[in-house]
Amino acid sequence: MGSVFLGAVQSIGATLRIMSYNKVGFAGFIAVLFLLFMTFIGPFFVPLDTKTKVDQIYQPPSAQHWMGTDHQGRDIFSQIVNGGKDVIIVAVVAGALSTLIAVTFGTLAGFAGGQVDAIIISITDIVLTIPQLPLLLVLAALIKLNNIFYLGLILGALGWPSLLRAVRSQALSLKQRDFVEAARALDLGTMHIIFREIVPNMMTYIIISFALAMTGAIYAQVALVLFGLVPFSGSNWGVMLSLAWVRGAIYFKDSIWYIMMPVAAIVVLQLSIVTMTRSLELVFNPRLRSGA
Amino acid sequence: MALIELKNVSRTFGKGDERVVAVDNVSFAIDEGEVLCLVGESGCGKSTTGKIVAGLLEPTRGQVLFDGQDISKLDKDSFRRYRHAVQIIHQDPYASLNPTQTVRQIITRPLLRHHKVSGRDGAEKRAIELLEIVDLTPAHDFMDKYPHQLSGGQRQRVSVARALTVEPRFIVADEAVSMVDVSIRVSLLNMLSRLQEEFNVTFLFITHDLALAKYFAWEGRISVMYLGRIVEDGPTRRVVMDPRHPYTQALLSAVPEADPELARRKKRIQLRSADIPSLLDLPPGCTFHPRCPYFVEGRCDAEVPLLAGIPEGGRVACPVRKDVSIQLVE
Repeated sequence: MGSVFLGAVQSIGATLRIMSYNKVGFAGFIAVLFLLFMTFIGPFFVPLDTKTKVDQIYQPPSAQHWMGTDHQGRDIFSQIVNGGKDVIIVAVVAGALSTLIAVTFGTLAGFAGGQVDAIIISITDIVLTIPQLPLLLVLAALIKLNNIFYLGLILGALGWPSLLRAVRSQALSLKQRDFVEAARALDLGTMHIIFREIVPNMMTYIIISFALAMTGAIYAQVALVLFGLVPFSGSNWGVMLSLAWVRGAIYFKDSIWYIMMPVAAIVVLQLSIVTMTRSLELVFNPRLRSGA
Repeated sequence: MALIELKNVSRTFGKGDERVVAVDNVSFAIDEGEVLCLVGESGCGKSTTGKIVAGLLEPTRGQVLFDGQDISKLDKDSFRRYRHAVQIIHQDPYASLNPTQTVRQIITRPLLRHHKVSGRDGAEKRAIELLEIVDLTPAHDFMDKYPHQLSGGQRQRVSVARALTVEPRFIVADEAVSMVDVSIRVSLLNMLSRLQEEFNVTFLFITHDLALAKYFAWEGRISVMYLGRIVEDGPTRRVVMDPRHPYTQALLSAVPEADPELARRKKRIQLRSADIPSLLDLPPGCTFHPRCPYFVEGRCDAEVPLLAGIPEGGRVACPVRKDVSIQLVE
């Protein structure tokens, strides 16, 4: 038991060291950890401010209100801390689902070829040609999207086609490589060839696509909230934007903090995720490691 | 009984106008412990033949026999035995190793999967042994290396060690030394020769370089391929000293000699054309006739010459010249 634990600690340490070779990527990784900490642990320390205080409307940042106050005099910082959870959960669920679909079926299509390939590709083409946001608007109007998991699943179920095509073409090219042929000659089995020989060579691409799928899902859900089609209860960066918009925040100079803070939170989250992929690339592509 | 035998094997690619006959009616047999060199220009079907022998490509027509049994009719267990007995070493050392795996992973995975060793420690020990067999010493230093940290020659040695994990009886070396530096070719060839002698591994050595074939298969046999067909085969000594097919003669006369005295005395065979015909539009009759200096009109462009045995050993697919010896060095 002890040695397994020690081994796990060692491999985590080695992975972190590899990630730290890229300073920008490692900063992104730290930022992602910080944002996760803030949104999932933070609410226990910074409860959501729900009390209307008419005398404190649109306050600029101060020691008492770190990010100022909104149109009802509520603390914006507490809303930012409490409003990230839904956004991140939807992004992760959507990103994971679309990446899972794309990698599984893309590799299968490329590797199996023939009929299987033809069927998968034609389904992909159909989904690819559907305009996403209008469909989401229609779906949101038809289905009650008050469960964030459902929203994540729907976003994920629509977001996979372009990644699938890319994964398929990579699998097509990789299966012709000599090392795959050598694995066939060594009788290592189809599962080994797919998951040990082909997929690891696509990991860099998959990780970046996962990050992009997450950012895409964040934009999509914020857009849905902004259109008022997803009735989010409580606080959420999208809801904050939507409320600020409805309150005409862009017309008042004083309300700049109210509308900019959720925008900044979304931008920082996106930027952290995207820069983190630079470090993750190093983990999955040994050729990029200069320090090793 | 031959270890591997090809019987009238053909392989085509593509359909309709794009159809290419890569291998056309090729037959040969290789006995256990023997070395057969397959020589020919690039694009002549050598590698396709190698892949068919290794069971990685199915022939369009014909049979591949392993220990006398047709491999397309083998049951699952026998096919697995054949699969493990025949391994291939590729030409490009930069493409034949997975860039995401360390040498340890590359060598130990086949060992563990096929239960060649017991447990991780056994696999580690055996991997070190195999790296030492292919002259990668000190072996410990190579275990954690990724392919991009190795030179072309070292990678090729890792490929050989990986092939040896399943204790093969037969190795197809597909231009295995062509892409490494000339300076390490000889040591790689010597290492392969040692495998043949010590472990009685049979070799199909595919190359475009007759000088290499001479070096590696002096005791063995050479088959010369031209546009998918075997035009001449026989013991290496006979083919090199007394080539009969005009194509073999042209190839041998084109091998550069290091000795200037010898180079001056060597005869150059003048071909009528330097261009290789397109595989999409092969000439009728003997496919070599548009380039052949001994072309006989009405005969060479009409009938496909068959391989016929000659008393000096081997077979020649040229009824016009098969009994005529020429001196390449005057």
